[in-house]
Amino acid sequence: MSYADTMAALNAKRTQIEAIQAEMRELQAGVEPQEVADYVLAGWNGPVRLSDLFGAKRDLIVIHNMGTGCPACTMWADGFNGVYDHLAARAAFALVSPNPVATQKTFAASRGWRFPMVSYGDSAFAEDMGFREGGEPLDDKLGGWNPGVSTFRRDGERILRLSNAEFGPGDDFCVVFHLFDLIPGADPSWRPRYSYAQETAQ
Amino acid sequence: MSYADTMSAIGAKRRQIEALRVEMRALQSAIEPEPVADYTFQGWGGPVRLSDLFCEKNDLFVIHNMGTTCRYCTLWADGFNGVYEHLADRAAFVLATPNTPQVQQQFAKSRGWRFPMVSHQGSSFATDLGYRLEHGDEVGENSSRWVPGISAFQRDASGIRRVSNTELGPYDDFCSVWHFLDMLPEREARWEPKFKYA
Repeated sequence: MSYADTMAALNAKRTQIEAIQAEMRELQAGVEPQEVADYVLAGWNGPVRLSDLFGAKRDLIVIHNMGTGCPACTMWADGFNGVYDHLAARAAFALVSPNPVATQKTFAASRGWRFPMVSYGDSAFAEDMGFREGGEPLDDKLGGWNPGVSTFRRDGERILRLSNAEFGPGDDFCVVFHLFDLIPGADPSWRPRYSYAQETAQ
Repeated sequence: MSYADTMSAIGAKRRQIEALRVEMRALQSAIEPEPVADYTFQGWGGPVRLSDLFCEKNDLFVIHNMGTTCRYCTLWADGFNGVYEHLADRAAFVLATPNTPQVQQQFAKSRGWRFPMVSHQGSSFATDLGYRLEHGDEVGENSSRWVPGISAFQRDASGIRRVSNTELGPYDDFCSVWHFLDMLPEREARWEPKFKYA
């Protein structure tokens, strides 16, 4: 198909996506929020409650990150780091992973991450929120953990979950795959890595 | 609707969007690319051609950024900056604006941007590729006539071809922030990006 016709056809699809997004907003507006417990997580300076993560904000975005064993989760987090100041102006934002706090600190420093992080510790937060399926050991391995986001709102003494979503290639939360989709015949085997410098040097 | 039913209904909508994306990839793969000239830009180290921007890659993304006066374009660029190494592994990535290289260098430094930038000031690049409106206020490099977007290019022995382009705007696929905001319904206030929030 000609360039102009292809662009017109693609834009028609984008218009369809916008219409579906409008329907999603309608659904989200009608949600009965889910009251959740005030979980105790492992913060960088000791135990921290879910309610503490709100800081001075009414709303809280929690990223369910699979930890340092997941290059894809790391790429998503790199993207959040880029827009962290913008997100933090609207809502509190924290990334939670199964890694111990000491591992989180080292990894965050290596990537230049600026957002707050907490460890699931021995809490049931991940399981209860639907971001842990299996019974794998609580270590740096990927087993059992799922990546995604939960959004919360404070309502007096209560904490309400307003929404959640899983992460995966082509989702709304990582721009990289959408850029690659603009290249016809883009290599489908491309996978994110922690660092790309090594291969260039070889 | 209950939380579980709402999440299930929203999940079904997400799958509808995924199906549309499959159709979009099929359309994109069948495109007849558009030959483009080897434009000359003002690079940070002197004149630079579009063909130079590929470096050793065969694919190139050029972000059409409206310049230092656009808070929205700056938000999008902050996001690209976060994943720059990932993008740069697959394709060359350059941000083009109407600002002079001097202004670009100061602004990039203030934001910690790591990607290459070029100025299209004095070239017809933006106009030819559809990123400048024919009508609108004309106030030099801060003109409201610039349009934000992305062009993707490929090169081979026959030259440079544009293989896709799109505009940028809230709720598009190229900035995650708006999709987070959709998960935090807010009736009383409309969030807008700023350069700084302190």
